[in-house]
Amino acid sequence: MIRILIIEDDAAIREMLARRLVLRGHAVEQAPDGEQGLAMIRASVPDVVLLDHGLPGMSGWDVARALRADEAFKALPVIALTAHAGEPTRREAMGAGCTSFLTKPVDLKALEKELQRLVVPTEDR
Amino acid sequence: MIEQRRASLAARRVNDAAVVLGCFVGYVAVFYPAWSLLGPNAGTLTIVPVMAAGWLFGVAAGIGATATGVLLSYALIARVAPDPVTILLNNSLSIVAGFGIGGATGWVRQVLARLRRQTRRLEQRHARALLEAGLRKAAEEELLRVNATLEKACDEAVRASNEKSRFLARASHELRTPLAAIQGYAELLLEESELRGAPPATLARDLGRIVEASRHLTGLVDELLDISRIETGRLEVQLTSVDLRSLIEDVAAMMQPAAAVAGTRLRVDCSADLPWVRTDPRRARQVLLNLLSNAIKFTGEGDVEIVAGRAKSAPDEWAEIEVRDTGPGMSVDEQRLAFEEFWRGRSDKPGVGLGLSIAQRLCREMGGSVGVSAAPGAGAAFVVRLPVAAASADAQGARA
Repeated sequence: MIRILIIEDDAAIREMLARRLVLRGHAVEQAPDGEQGLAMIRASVPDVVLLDHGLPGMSGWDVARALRADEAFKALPVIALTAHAGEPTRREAMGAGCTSFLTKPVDLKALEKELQRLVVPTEDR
Repeated sequence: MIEQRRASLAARRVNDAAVVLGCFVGYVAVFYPAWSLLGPNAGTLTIVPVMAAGWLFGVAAGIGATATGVLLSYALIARVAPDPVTILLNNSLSIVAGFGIGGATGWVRQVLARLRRQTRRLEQRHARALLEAGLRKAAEEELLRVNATLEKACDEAVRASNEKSRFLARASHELRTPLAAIQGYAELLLEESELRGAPPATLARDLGRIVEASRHLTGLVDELLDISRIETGRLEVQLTSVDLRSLIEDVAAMMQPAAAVAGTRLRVDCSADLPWVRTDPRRARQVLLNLLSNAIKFTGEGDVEIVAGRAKSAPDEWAEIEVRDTGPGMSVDEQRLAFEEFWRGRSDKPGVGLGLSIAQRLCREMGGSVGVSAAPGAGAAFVVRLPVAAASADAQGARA
């Protein structure tokens, strides 16, 4: 089981992703914007963050930068999710401190692979 | 004796005066009409008639004047005998004067005419120069004006085209989000029903169709996005050394299910010395997927073969990947149009006609190319050329 936080403003996409990840046996929490997402991470650190780019207020990249600026979350894996496929966006995401990059519509198989790759398997907490 | 000498002297004076008067009258009477007749506007040749006339009338006037002088001196001083020497002298003087004045007049006339002509020529040249300068200026102004109009039109066209591409980019981005939801929820429902046990066959099939259709639509939206990127020059390729064999095997494996559904036998034939290539793996995969799905789409029940190896003409520089099918083939015109945007031929197959156009631009962008050879009824072969990676051997060595 991996503990995942989804930060995504589109409720339909967020809930769909959450339910499909739960079906795969993960623990999922959801945040509709960057501020709430950061607050939730500070309250309880997940194993991985799924981060949408186009968030209201703080953008996804802002959230990634905020995480990287904080010593406690420097190593927290962040998978960027964006509707913009393409190299410039990927570079922006990586530049902001994201660990990985997937385009929407998210291929759950690819996502699962990324989760397994990024999250060091630890004993269930 | 003294009286006789006085009379002779008087007769000679009268004679002289008559000669001078005769000459003057003769010249004025003859040259004025000749001058105006063969005026300064006449051509160069008129010097001859003018001089001839001068000479002729000089002679005539001299003879006339001498005769008048002789007659007058006889009438006035009857008894004085005419002096033959004087008569001859007067006569020849008049003739010489006539020749001189006639020739001089012709010469002056010619010089004047030449001056006039030169003046006229200069005036004409000046006028022409003025006219040309004026025309040139007008033409330059017109050119500038037309140029400005064209530039404006061109700017507008470019702006409109950019606007269109931006719209395409925005629209395809906006389309992706709801598509993601449709596809995601269909997949979610499928997964949930599978988790609860075997879902009813119709439900599984219908949900599968929703997933399939939204995947297809997402693919089309991606093509539009690619075209808009290519047109605004924002398409970037990331060139790295790529193991062509594993790329081709991946792509073939991905297309195998679709080939099975269509009844197409899909085979891969990579030569043993297949090199690594310098390319963008994601984009190269996209190109090959496009060629393969086209081949399967048009072949149906038949064979599709991927043959890859070094190019025969330049084996150290190029790798060639050929996608051959046993489909309906293409005419020469169709081959020419195949890479045009939105061209779909006589196809009733789904698609918007962007795949090959994108594939071609991607290949160019990656420093390669794609071409087609085909004949109606004899299948088609699309050949992709990609540059061999410089460190090909090292990369293979590192991997081995």
